[in-house]
Amino acid sequence: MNNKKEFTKILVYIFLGLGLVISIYPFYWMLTASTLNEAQIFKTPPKMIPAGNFLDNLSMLLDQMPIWNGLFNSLFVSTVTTASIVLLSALAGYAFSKFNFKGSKILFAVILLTMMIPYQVTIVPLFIIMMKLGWINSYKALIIPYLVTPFGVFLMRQQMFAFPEELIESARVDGCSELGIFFRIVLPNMLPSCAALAIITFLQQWGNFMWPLIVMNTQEKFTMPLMLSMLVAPGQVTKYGPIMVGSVIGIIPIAILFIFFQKQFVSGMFNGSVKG
Amino acid sequence: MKDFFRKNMKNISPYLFIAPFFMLFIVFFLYPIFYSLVLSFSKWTSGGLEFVGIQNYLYLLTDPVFWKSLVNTGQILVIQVPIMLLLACIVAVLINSKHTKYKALFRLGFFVPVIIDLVTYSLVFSLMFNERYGIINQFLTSIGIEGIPWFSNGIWAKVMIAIAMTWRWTGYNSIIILSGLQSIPGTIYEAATIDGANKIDTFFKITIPMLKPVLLFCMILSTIGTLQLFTEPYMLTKGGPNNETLTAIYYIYDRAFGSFKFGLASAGAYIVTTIIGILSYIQLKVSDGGEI
Amino acid sequence: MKRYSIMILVSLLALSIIVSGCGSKGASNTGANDNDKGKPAEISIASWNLQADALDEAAEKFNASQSEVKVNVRRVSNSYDSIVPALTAGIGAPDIVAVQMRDFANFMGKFPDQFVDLSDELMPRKDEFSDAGWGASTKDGKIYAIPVDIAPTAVYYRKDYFEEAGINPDNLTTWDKFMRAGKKLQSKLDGVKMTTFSLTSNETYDFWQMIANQLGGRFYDEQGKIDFTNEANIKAMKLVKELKEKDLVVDSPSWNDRVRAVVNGETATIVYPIWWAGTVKTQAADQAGKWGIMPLPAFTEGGPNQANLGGSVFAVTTQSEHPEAAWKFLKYLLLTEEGQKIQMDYGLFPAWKPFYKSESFATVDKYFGFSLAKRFGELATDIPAMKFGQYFYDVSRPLETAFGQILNGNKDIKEAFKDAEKAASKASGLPVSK
Repeated sequence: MNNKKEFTKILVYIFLGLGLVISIYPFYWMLTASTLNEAQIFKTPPKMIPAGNFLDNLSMLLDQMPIWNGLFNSLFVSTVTTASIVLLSALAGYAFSKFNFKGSKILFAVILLTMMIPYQVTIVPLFIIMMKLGWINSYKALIIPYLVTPFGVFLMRQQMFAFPEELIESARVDGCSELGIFFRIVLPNMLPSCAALAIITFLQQWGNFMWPLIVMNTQEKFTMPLMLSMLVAPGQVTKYGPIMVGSVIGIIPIAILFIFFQKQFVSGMFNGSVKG
Repeated sequence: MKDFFRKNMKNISPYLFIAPFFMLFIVFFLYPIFYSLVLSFSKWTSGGLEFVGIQNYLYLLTDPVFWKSLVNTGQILVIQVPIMLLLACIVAVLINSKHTKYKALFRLGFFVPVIIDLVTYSLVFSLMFNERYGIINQFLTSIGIEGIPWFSNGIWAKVMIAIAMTWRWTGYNSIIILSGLQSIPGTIYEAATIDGANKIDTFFKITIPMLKPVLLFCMILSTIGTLQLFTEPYMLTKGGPNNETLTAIYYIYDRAFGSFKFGLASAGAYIVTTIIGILSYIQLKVSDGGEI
Repeated sequence: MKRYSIMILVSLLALSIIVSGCGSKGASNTGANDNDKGKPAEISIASWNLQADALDEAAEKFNASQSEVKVNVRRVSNSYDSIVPALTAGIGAPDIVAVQMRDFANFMGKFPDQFVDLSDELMPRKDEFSDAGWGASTKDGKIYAIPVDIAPTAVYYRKDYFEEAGINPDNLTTWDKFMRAGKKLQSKLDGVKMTTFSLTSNETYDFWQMIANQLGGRFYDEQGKIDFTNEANIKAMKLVKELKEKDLVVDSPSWNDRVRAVVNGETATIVYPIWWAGTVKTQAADQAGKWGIMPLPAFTEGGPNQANLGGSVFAVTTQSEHPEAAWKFLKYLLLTEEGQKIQMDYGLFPAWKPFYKSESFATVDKYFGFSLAKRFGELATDIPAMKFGQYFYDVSRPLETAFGQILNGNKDIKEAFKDAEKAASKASGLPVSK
């Protein structure tokens, strides 16, 4: 009996371990490639051991693109939009889940529908709006259209269902204002869900590169992913070593974010919606 | 006056709460969507919009390439989403198991693929699946199997794309499912073990049913995501070989940014949206109207 | 504690809106109007990668040399994602746009009133530019764009491989001879194939187009109707098929695969224009001195052996508030030796013929050991113009599908091309020829 248990345990670890290796492999490749020089990157069999060209590649990268600006832009834009999305989605999600107001069903259905519409479709109309407002090539164009997303409301509403009605009612009886109830009672207890939404949103915003491509014109204002994609140019000379350095730099903020908020993310995604 | 507000606050406040969201939403989401809807019924020329009724829709519905793109998308959907969800469940359950140590390490490791940047993603996967040099074919030939034509064969190209997507999204979904798992009270499992159920029975008869809301959530989102598939074909195969990996959204992107046929592209997008809507509705109904 | 974090979030939001308001300027691409004394007219020019790098340098020099015009360079992608919406919306386009030659006719068709008529300046100077550069800039007898660079094509070959196999490049004057030499080389050198291009992806198109161009192939007949089934196009496809059937090709579906094939020494030749040189130099740095250039083999002795694959134009947009200033810059960049030298430094082969006679044109390239420019210049004298027409995208996609069917599905060439004609006709609305 014990042997069987041991055996299963080993199998499980092998399975998970294999999965881990597969998941991490491309990142290992990225790290290694960032330390190789051009000639080595395309050789077969590929060299899988890091070499010493990281700093050279870094300086080549800086020659081509103002990477630190890109990093800052991405961080700034992603952080601001994420903060806004989380806050406004929480507000709206709370309203949709705890209040049965006129029109709530229809309004929510509209939100759901818009989630299904591919974003490519709205790019040109959005661009025209940006043009008319004079926001092209400014942070406003990157941030303001993304201060809310339908997905945020969808998720928060889902999460808020689990929040106990009684707490809200008793707060009302105590004379607390509606806004007060939200900020002092509901939100503090929904922080894991907020963290989960924050991570997902931050990821999406960070990786969104079609939009910055269209509305930003000067290199210094590009976001990181955009800068990196501009450097890849089949048909012209593409130096992968420096690009990989950029990729490595770009991953760090997100990795840090997830490492610190792992716990909240896991507990926040499906807070109590599984009924026992 | 104050009393009026105090009494009616409960009724007014939801509207106030959703106001900031809706104001921004209307301007930056609804208006462009409405505009593109109008666009889908028009022919766009530099001079302006010319109303053409359903001409765009008819063109698309009679274009064999558009149908092919829909079929391709469907084929990938049907294979990739179920397999990925099953895998995600298994991974989540295994990580959650009380026997497993290093939970945090595994959680992080499996989640990490979603944060990869697109340049690295396309580079590494093109390299791995390269028919001559890629490590996958090298490995296969070393154990006596002929190398697979990942790029030159339509079916294998789709498989490759499905594998890439699975790599990217399994961990993400498994973390979501993990979070659902942790809400299942341990007492249920204890009762089951006492009743004599084995691990596999427990998995299929208790875990999965309890996870229904979570699974539904993941399934709907994955379906929407896969139906809107664009990144992988664009990065890896450019829709080839022979349009075998051309997905619906890729087709639309081509029309918009390649041929500048915005009206057509918008119409295509709405056809896809309709399909997504129908499928999501079906998924909801079939799962006995899970709360959504 | 938790309440404070909420307040911080909200204030951050408010702050960011204020901050971003402070930091941005307007969207207009000109900073001054002509009446401002002493303030230069600001214009913007948009391009990508190497061309944008060249523009940075040229703009710097131009701005320093005079004070009436200030040029700003905008970086965009070569798929026009940021240009197209601006042209569509009618606002926000830069003063000058770079467009690849094969796409410009499409642009002219879709945005008929967005480009400035340059006929007055350019018609008298038409002969100063290589024929290959005029593939797309004209419409209804008027000129809407100035040719910037062209891409004369040749065969890059490994001198050491040829030597080892006992092949003399001067003898490879026809494709038949080329293929026979290929067989000989492959029998003597293990793991090396004669050439490389894509056999299995959409990129087969590029190789085919070079050969079709060489033969005077075309997509439309004289009346502008779709014509893929002409002799030149079919003959070119037959060559592609023959090269595959004789097993002389290393399949390289993507750009990176071609680079890899070269870097790993798996191919003895590669057929590409001058712009390939930059890549070879960077990514196969250790092969310096090993590569030579020879003209494309012809189909018959003494037959045409020149082709073009690529090239771009600059057009002035009608949205520009300073078209005269824009033209001033274009004149500097493309009609002076100084400007063209900068272009050349970045690997952009000028369409402007007078530059071919300059000294800088003849500089010996360190990597290759001879003057690349001169060698390619000799192959740029009689390139047949290829009309890409208004619907290049709608035309090339069906062809790409046809190639796949022919090479991998064994469909008959004429039949596949006929089907492609039908598909192109449906997509573009143009009738099929014959």
